[in-house]
Amino acid sequence: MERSAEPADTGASTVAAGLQRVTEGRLAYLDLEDLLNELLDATVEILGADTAAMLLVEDDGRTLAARAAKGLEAEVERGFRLPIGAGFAGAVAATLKPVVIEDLDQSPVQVVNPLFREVGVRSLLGVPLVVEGRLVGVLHVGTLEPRPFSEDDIHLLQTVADRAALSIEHHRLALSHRVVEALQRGLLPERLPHIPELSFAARYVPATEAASVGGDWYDVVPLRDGRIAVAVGDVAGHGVAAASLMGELRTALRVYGLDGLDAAHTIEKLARFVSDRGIVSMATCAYATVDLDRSRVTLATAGHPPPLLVSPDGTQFVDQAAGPPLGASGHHEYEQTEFAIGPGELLLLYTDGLIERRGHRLSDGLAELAVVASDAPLDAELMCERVIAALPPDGSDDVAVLTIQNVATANGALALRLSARPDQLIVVRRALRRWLAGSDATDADVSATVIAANEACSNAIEHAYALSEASFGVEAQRGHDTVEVTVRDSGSWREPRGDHRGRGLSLMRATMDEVEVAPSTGGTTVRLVRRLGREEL
Amino acid sequence: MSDLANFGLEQRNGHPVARITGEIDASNAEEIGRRIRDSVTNQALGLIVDLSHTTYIDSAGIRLLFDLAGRLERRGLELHLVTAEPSQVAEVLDLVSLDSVAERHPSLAAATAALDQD
Repeated sequence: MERSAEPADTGASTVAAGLQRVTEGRLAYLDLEDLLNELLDATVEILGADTAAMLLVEDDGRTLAARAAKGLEAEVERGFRLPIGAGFAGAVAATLKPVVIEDLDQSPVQVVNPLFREVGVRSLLGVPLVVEGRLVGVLHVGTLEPRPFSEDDIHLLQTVADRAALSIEHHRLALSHRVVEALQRGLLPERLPHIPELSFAARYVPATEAASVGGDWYDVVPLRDGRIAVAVGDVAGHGVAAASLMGELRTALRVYGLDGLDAAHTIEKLARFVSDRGIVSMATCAYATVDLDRSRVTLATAGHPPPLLVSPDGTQFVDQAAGPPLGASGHHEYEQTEFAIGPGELLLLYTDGLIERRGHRLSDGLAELAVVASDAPLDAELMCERVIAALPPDGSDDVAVLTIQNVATANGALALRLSARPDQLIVVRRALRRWLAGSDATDADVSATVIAANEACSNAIEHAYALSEASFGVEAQRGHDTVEVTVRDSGSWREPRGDHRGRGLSLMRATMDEVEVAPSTGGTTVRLVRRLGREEL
Repeated sequence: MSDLANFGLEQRNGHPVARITGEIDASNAEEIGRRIRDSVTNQALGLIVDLSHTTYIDSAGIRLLFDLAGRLERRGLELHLVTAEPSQVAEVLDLVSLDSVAERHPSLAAATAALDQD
């Protein structure tokens, strides 16, 4: 590249345009390499230079590494590095002052990089990139003809460097924030499990202050004995460390819960897990198991704000026997509280980011939450949405919200919508057994109804084999002395084939008084009716 | 296998006994069938499937039993079942006339004795 050795073209518009390029908002979205190259293009243009290079401070804080270059590309390709204090760029970095080399051939400054001479650079101007007093890197420009850099040139390059430093720093922070957020989102459940008698919804809003994204989590875990475990937690601290610890706690809690322990013992084990690992951070947690058979919830908490129980008749905070946060020193025992969750009632779990606002009392936040929740629609999804909208996170802390609603209908009918998978058959059987328990149906009635419904559902699941996201529906109603079950699918009925395939249908016919199969283009509806009061199938 | 059922294998007087505790339905019948088939050795005179702790069986489970009986018959072996009386399993097996292909016993001892006699 041939250029005449002239002072920089300080035409105001060129400079302004150049500086504009250095601070454009879109620079925030480029990856670091592209960002640096954009910055160097602008620098070369503004200064009228032949070469430019950006060196950034490495993680060790003592070394500069060439990250981008124009006219000196080999510098990056060769992975050029030098200690702060050595050579030209090192001198800039060490002194935090501009350094000028008017003519490389006569320079008293030791130039370490052989590339300058290879390319034929004669004059160099280097300035430090500083953010809040901290060295971020070095920006230098060079010319192939000797050039007396003026005070204006130095000032101009420093201005460019200042703006560039901010862009780079902002980029690094945003990247770190994105990494943590991705890590956290990766650790949170993608989809809540589908349990027919319960409706769930969750929201997770990470802190916007990059330094504060931390370790809030929520989880829903069906346990082996049919209970459903729900949890929210909050790990103190922020960044990758907090997110990692959150992942560990979430996993440990799942494992302990699946061991079948009650809520208090599960939290105790989790507390011991934290202290045994020598984990210094503290965490809070609210853990509850929902027993659908008895419509009761058992709750144990560790340093966590009280869950809210919302019902058509009123809203109140659960009177919890709160234990200390996980990681609090000493051995601790935890208590559990049990309470009812009737049809339509909703339990709201959350982390303190929802109720804490700088400058406001915690009790005010709790009171506000109760008011918002009691006015909100009594629906898991809508409640979540309303709560977040009415108490918007201020960005200083993560917020996690989890709602659980008992949606067993109060009018005596049963209505389920399930994914068309064989592992859902047990859900139908349990729901039907629960629904018929305590009624005037005999054991034989219950057994017969469950057998027939299971077969109809099994067929529905088989029909749906071709559909990827198929679901099927089960409705059950009581008549005066009958029970009627209807199974609907949207697949296509296939005539039973082979020796064994007709057994499902014959089981239905043997156990129910009426079996009606109505195939249509939209799907199949199977209607089963049994007159109650018999002692045999 | 899903958490629905547990599979256990033991020997009684040299006869393989496959025990299933829990529920058998379309979600686990295939795997249970496979495990039972794997438990039949060349030296076996027959197979005992202990369903006395099976709390539920559906048409998929029934299918596996019929299938099993057929396979064993082709090898000249017998299938003996243990079912609790009364139980859902027993009632359902009655409904589908499973005793046309397998002998049912109220206890493991009775099933073992039946195989000993062969």
